[in-house]
Amino acid sequence: MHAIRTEGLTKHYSVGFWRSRPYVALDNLNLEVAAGEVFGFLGPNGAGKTTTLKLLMQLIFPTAGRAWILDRPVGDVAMRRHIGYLPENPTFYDNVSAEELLGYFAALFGYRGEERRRRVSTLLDEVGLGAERRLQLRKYSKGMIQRVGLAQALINDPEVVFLDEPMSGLDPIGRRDVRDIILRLRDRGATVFFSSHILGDAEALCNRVGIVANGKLAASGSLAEMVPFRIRGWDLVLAGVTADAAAALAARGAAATVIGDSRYHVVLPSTASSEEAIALAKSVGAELVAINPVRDTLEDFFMAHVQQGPRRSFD
Amino acid sequence: MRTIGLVALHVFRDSVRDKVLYSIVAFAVILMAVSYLIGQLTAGEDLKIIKDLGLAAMSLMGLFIAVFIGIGLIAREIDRRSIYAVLAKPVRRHELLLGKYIGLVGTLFVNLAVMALAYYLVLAYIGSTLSEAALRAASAPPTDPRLLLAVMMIGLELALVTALALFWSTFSSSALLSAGLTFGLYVAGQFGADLKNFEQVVKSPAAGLIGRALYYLLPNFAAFDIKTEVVHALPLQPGYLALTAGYAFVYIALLLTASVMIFARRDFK
Amino acid sequence: MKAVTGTVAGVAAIAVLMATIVRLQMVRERWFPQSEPAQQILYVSSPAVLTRLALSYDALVSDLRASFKSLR
Repeated sequence: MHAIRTEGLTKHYSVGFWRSRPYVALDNLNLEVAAGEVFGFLGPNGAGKTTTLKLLMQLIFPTAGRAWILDRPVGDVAMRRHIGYLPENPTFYDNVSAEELLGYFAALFGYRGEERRRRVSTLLDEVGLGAERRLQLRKYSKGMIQRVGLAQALINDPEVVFLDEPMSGLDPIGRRDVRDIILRLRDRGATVFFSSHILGDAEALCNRVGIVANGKLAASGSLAEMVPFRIRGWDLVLAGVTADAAAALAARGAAATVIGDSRYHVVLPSTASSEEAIALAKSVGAELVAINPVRDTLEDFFMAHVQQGPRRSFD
Repeated sequence: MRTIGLVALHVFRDSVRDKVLYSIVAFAVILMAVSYLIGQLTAGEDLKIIKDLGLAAMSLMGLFIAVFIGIGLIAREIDRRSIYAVLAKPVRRHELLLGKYIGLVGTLFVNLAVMALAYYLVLAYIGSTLSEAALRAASAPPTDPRLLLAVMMIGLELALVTALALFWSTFSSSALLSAGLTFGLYVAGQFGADLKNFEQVVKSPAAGLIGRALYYLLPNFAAFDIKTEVVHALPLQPGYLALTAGYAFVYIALLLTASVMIFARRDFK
Repeated sequence: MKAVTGTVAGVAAIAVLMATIVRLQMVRERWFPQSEPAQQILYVSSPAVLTRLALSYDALVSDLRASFKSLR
């Protein structure tokens, strides 16, 4: 059984005054997500990520194709008891509090009385909303609304969670919190399907990714195996570099630039492993401040890949 | 059923706290108080004028509330995409729509009740200031319970307006357009007599036919107006009221059915 | 299939409801005919009130009055 499956999912919009020009938002999407996976759905803005999520939530209807969640067709209302959804940049209702909103949603799932109160309270704790939970939502900041959104997506302990740009609008602490929540969901055995245009989000969390551009699935598979995302080299920041050390670095063929008071930015080719890079720093007697892998960005990938044509699988 | 009730309760809670509604109701209450002053300007007709003015204020303010919340019902919710999270829950689209309608009509009735209370208070106050002779001379007592009938008719009329606003909002993406259409139909619905007699204005049988067809099909809001009868203590037939109430219910059912059908098939871009 | 029956049922319901509202109006008119006065007159007893009600549109009101008079 697949947690999520689509078959030829297509969405055309008619634009133009006489509704004559079709705009292809999504073209023939075939996707499978296994239960328990954390699946990253990546792509630039306008690629079709939100369209896909809206088709899965049946907020819009497909022009062609079908989709299933937990082996039930997406229109199935009973199936919705087991899923959660966080829309992109969510807004809710101005004049109710977070507590009341979650209470409402919990009631829609059928929770009553003490259990409902407990769930609401626990979830608000989990997303980090304290006394603010009693304030009306129109007083909330964007980050707080995002947290409320996350809470309402998880109120029913869903088996499959759909998150549309879950990190947007959050500061670094918030982003880390969301990351933790997703990891906890994974540990609980839930399936997480989240969309993002930031590759870094996917790296830390996903088993597999799918990449869309211009409404088509360009690639899918495990991130590590995707050739374009292999590590090309290492980016080091060294401090305390003496003149001798600089000479030694030059001898090793490492491109080095001065970025400050005896700080150097060094780029090593991919033939080096991370251990070698760290050893290099030690050998020239410098302090290693930072080390980052150099790889193509998602944007580089699109530039190269989208021109190439139909989807390739790296599974 | 239970789901509809949950949605209705939530919608009621959200909209009854809306600040704009407070302003509208406050304005109506102020109008009531001011009507007392206007009553002082006329010679001896104050009671009738105040009753008329009060009912008119309730009707007009109520209209604004009905259109405002009716549009807010769907148009604002879609615009702000707050509908996305709800529709992903185990709620059917028609349950959402019906729950919203009930919740908002509930809000409307609460606001109407507040205005009616202010109305009665003003009338009671005036009644206490009138002399015995003046009270006997008046055709109806200041706090005439029949006024409540007029208020109820206003309530029914506005429930119909809300259903109309809801209907437009289900497929129009522009809140302004929906509001305009609703107001327009409300005005048109007041000119029932003219529509029926359209043939007398544009002398052609085809025009007469169209006029009569429109008269019967468009919501006839003028029929809900029993203000004159109530204020001037003229007789009211219960049969008329029953038929009008029935008309309101059936028309609301019609609008809700159409709205549900459209809403169920709509893409939420 | 289910969608089609739903649509048909909905359209049928709408047709029935429309017929009902037309019928209700006709019945109401037959049983409770609203007499319409031959001439619609708005009677304000006090000229002082009328002036005040006209707010700042005094000129407009007097114009309207003059034009109505000429129509009759």
